[in-house]
This record gives sequence, structure tokens and C-alpha cells, in this order.
Amino acid sequence: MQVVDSLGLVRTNNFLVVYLPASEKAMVFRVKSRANEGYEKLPYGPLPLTSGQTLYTFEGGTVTVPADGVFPARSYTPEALIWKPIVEGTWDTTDMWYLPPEWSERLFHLKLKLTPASLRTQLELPKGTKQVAFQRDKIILTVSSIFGWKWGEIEAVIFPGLHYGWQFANELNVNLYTYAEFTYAENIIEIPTVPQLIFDILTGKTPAHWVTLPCRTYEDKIKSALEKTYGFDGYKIYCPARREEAIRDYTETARKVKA
Amino acid sequence: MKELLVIYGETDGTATTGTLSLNSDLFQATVSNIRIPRGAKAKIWFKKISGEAETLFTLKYTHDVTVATITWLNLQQEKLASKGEIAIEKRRPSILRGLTGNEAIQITWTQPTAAKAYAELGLELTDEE
Repeated sequence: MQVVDSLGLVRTNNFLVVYLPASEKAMVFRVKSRANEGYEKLPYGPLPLTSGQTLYTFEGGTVTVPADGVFPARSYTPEALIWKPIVEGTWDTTDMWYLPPEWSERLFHLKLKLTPASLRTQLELPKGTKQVAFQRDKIILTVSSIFGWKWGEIEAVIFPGLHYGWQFANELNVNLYTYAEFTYAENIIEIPTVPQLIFDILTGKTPAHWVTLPCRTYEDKIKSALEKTYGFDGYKIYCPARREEAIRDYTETARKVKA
Repeated sequence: MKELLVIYGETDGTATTGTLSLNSDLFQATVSNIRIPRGAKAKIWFKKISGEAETLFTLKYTHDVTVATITWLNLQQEKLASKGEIAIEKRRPSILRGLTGNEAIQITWTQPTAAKAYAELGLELTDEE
């Protein structure tokens, strides 16, 4: 049986690995249960663009959003957006995917699909930090760059305690009505602490679904959110030939994991 | 990336030549041409034209829509010989490429006598083969 289901979400009792390139560490989760099993679709609606909001244009000027959710031609968001809650009563009133560190047993795994698919998107982790670059940090790539973004879809795992920023761009010369749909799992998770199992997962011996978050710079905010939520900031990745060293390290790191 | 847009335009009924204002369910305002993003392809899967009188629709393509004087190339033509309707479905689409991101397409019309005529295009924007 595959690790992910037809929606691309991790099946119950399988492993989800979230890798952060900048720290060279991975968070390993066992999905104990999916709280929203069977109800994974979230038709968010238009992008959170507000009439009158100012966007930058590819030609170097600015343009005003003509109506809520309408993306002006040849423009992009000057600063990352946050998904405003579309229901009342969310934990955070400004960010519908935000969870507090105390809710460490919950983990959102989501896939965003944009309409039209020609819209560009890029993730900031945390909001405000550009995480895509070329040739080390020589060139920081933004949603308006020639590359370094995705068309129409993006997959992410939302760590508690962090606000993620979402950049968007419309390179077509047309004002576009927009629509966003999420396919998400509100996973109830635990963190494996058996060193051999962790080694097997991170060396690929035990199947797992890997999500690599864009992370060229390891912000203190990320490290502290992970430590506050889980008690540590990830398991190091080791070469399979360095098993003993890895097991020793995982034994030590696993002691920090919050129960 | 894959998005199929149904693009629609109609003649104004008073001029014998012109460029269609293009619209679609996702367009908030009409445009006279559509740019093709760099690295993307515009695939034309179907065309439908109809009208009250003889009309020649021409699909035009330019390599650079950003210059002051745009050079439009005639790529495809569909002619309505008289009042009626033509629908063309393609098993293999026409492909127009976005190489620099400055490429664009437009549709023009020519009529011996001005009349209302309509054009519909199944245009897929994609980065896939």
C-alpha cells in the first residue's frame, strides 16, 4: 500500500517527513489519524486580495486591485499574503492555518490549487523571509523573478507557531478572477523516538512521504517554533554508511522530544 | 500547469474590419490580445465561429507585444462563407509557444459587409508537452 492516498495525503499509520534544507534536518511524523478523513476539500474561494489594495507590476509600477479577489494584469503581491479565515472562530483571527505550539499533536498537510493555474505562487517561511535563492544566496528569487516559483499549486506542511507567507503573481496581461482550493489533512501525529526506525525512515528503508519546505535560511523563528512545539528542531540526515553515529545522535535527540 | 480557457469575442456589427475584444469566464475585463507566459504553451483545441454574414477570422501571433510597432503574423484563418456556424475540434492542437514571455495572440475579422459575427477559442495554457 502506498504511503499517500489518491489525494496525495499521508495515510493513517504512515510517516511524513518534512525536510528543511537550511538546517539539514528533518521532522519525522507518524500519522496516527486524520481528523478530517473524508472531508479533505476546502474550497477557499477567491485569493485574499482586497479591492483598492496596491500591487506591483512586472513593468515596474503599481496597480490597484479592481475588485475583491481579482488579480490585476501583469502584477504581483509586494508582500506575502496570509489566508484570512473564511470561517469564524479559528484559533488565529488573521491566519486560518495557524496553530499554536501547544497544539503539537495537530499538523496541517495541505495542497493548494489555484485557478487559473497560470497564477504563480511562492512560499515564505516564516512570512517575510524569502526562502528561494540561486547560487547560494547570490540571487534571491521572488515571485516576480524568471524562475523560483510554482505555477498553480504548492504543497506545504504547516508547523504550529509559525505564520507562513504566500506570494502570488499574475503574469498574463488580463485581470483575472481567482479561486483557491485546498486539499488538506488535519493530522493527529506523534514523533517517532526509536532510533533504528528514524534511521530507516531517513535513509529511505522505511517508506515515507517527503515534503521539502523552501528554506535557504534557517530563521530563529523556525528553530524556536519547532523547539517550543516539539522540544527539538529535527533529526539530522545521515549517510546510510554512518549508521552507528546516526543511532547515537537519534538516541540523544529523541530524549528531547515532547511527549 | 494546465488551464483550459474558453475565449470569446464578437464583431461590433458596424465596422468591416477590426480586432476582437477577448473575454472569458475568468477575465474581469476584455483584452485585445493574450500574452503567453515564458515557458508556457498556448494550445488551441477547438474553434467555433458563427455570424450573420460572410466573415474571415484571422488568428495572429507576435513574438513581441511589448514593442511600439508590433509585427503580427497571420497563423490561422477561418472563413464563414455566409450566415451560419462552423465548429472545428482538433485531435491534436495547434501549439503556440511562449519563448520570452512577450509572445501574444489576437484575433481579427474582415467582412465585405459589416454584420455581427462571433468567435470562440478553446485555449489551453500549459507547461506540459
